[in-house]
Order: sequence, then structure tokens, then C-alpha cells
Amino acid sequence: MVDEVVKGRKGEPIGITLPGGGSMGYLWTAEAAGDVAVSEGIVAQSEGRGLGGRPDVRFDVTLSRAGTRVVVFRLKRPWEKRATETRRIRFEAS
Amino acid sequence: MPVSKESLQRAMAAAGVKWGIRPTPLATDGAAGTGLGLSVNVEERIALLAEARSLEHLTFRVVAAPPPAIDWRAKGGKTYITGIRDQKNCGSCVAHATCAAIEARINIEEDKPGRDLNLSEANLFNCGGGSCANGWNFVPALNYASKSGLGLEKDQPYNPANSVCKPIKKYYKVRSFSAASTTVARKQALSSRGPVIAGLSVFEDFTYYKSGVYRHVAGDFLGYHAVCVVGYSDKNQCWIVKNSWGPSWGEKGYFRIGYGECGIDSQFAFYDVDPVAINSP
Repeated sequence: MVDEVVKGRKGEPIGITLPGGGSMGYLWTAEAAGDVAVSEGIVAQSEGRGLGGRPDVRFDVTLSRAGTRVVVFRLKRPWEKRATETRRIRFEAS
Repeated sequence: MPVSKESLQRAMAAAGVKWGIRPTPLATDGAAGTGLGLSVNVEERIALLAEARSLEHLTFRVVAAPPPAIDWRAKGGKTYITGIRDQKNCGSCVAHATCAAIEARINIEEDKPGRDLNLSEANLFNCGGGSCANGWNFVPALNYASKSGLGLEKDQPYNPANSVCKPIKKYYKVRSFSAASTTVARKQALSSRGPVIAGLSVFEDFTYYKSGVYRHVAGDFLGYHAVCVVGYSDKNQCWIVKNSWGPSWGEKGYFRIGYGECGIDSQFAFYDVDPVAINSP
């Protein structure tokens, strides 16, 4: 069971954007198989956002081979045990 | 990707700083994160600070140097600060910082140390125009508290979500507020009148803070955050701050941050509030 399916090409980054929570103490972590590379960056904060606004977090997921991989993203505070949000996203590379 | 404990320790050693950190999710270095840029409304912040500076002499005429330290958690052996709250996953920090400062100021004004006066952040946030995704700003929050007043937590408990504006009985109002932007004015407001509302930039390493005087050494910028400053120490060169991330974070919900760190005393003014009771709780 996955929350979303994202398609792309093998060896090329497939981007996905998630709502950040850093100013509330929450960080996204990504769990993926060893042949999947995941990098992260903060997306530009929209004008009009105030203190406490949530800049989006962009993940670039790269599958080294054609096929399907599920990456589990968890939004969690480092000092707390439980994630407040979990998203399972299937990446399909042709 | 989250920073590793080792890379955080290396960054701290390189910077010559030391503060307690929690274990991070990575045992060893992970892939370096890719910064994708950040757009901030710099002009608005500069204009606010300029306005604060132009008004400062009217309200912060310095008649004596501020004392070298103040901590409203232990003023004369008594605390005037209310309990640590948790905003959870909603950008309501402005409402939390505003209520925290006002609760403390009321305790000081009414000379009721130890009382856990609990104002409704949810009512201020949802009725005043805050948004979990977009956050809020100090002046709209203070204008709402001046015009419409503040109710009690028991009448509209906090829920980390955008919700309806519930019409509840109001017990306090903000009679006036002003902004302090110089270091002397910030300390004067804190030492002579009480806790103030402040803002800072949050970086990734801040989420791993456990104890000591925090100084930023590693990690991406994550957003702007509102907090309540409850004291300072010239000896330790730091501000003492009440956060709204629950009592398990940091030093029992508080943190100490070095002077000049993360824009706390440069990017944002300290907001000095003067509350007044309009009904008896």
C-alpha cells in the first residue's frame, strides 16, 4: 500500500516535494533500499509566509536501475519516538 | 538528510563551541543535502526594524545600565513563567510566544508567581488570522490581542490544526506594545518589565539541542520561529528562551542561545507587551 506513485527515468533524479516542519522541530527522514539515492533540500519559502510557516522540502530520488522502489518518508522530531506523519511513495523508473 | 552526530560534533569542534546534543538518526555521515535556495522577505524585516529603532527612544529611554543577568524563572527565588506548551505540527509559534509573554507579564503585574495562567493560543491563532502552513507575524497577533482580547485555554483548548474561531469570553487585552531593537533596549525591556516576544532562524542542528548555550554550526535553514525570551546572562553571553516544542526538548522546554546567534537579536525586534485584565478569571 502506497500513498503516491511517481514516475521517472533510471539514473535521473525524480523529485518530490513534501511540506516541511523544521520550525516546529520536525524533520523528514527517508528510508530506501541500498540502490536508491536520496538527497534533500529546502524549497524557496513563499512570499507572504510568516514566522512558523512551513518551507517545503524537496527530495530527489534516483534509481540506479529500471524498476520500482518504495521510499518511506517519516516526519518526526529527533527527541520523540513516534513519527507524526508517514508517507510511502513508490518510484517507478523506466 | 539529517546531519550525523559525528559531523555535528566535528562542526562544533571546528567552530570552538560546545552544547549538548541528542543522538541523531544517522550513525555515520549521510549524503550531503542539496540546498535549493531560500527566498525571504528581507525588505519587510528591515522596515520593521527601522520602525522599531525610530520609536525606541520614546519607550526605552535608558536611565541606568541593565543588570548583567535576569531570569524570570527564578526572580527572587520565584518563577513568573507559566508551563511549557507544545505547538506540535502547526506553525502557531507566534500565538504561543505571544501568550507565553503575556501570561508572564500578567503574573508579574499581579504579583502571582507560580501561577500557571493558561491563555488560549488556539483562539488567538484561529480568530486572529494565523495559518498552520503559512505561520503568522507579531504585529497582527498583537493587534488582535489589543483589539479583541485573549481568552482562556479551557474555553478553547489548543489543537494543532486550522480550526474555527470560537467566540469565547475574553479576560485580558494588550493595552500597548512596543519594539526594542538595540541590545541595551532589549535587556532593559526584559529586566525592567518582563519576558518579551522574539524571532529567530531555525537550522537543522537546533532540533538536536539538549543543553548548554546553543550556537549554530551545521545544517540547513528550516524556517523562522517565534519564541518568548525570559532572561539573559552577560556572564554566559546568552539569552534564556522559552520554546513551544514541549517539555522534553532542550533544557526542560527552554534553551539558551548565544548573543548574536540565528538573528535572535538582529533580524527581529523584541516585542514588549503591556497587558491588562478586562475580566476576572
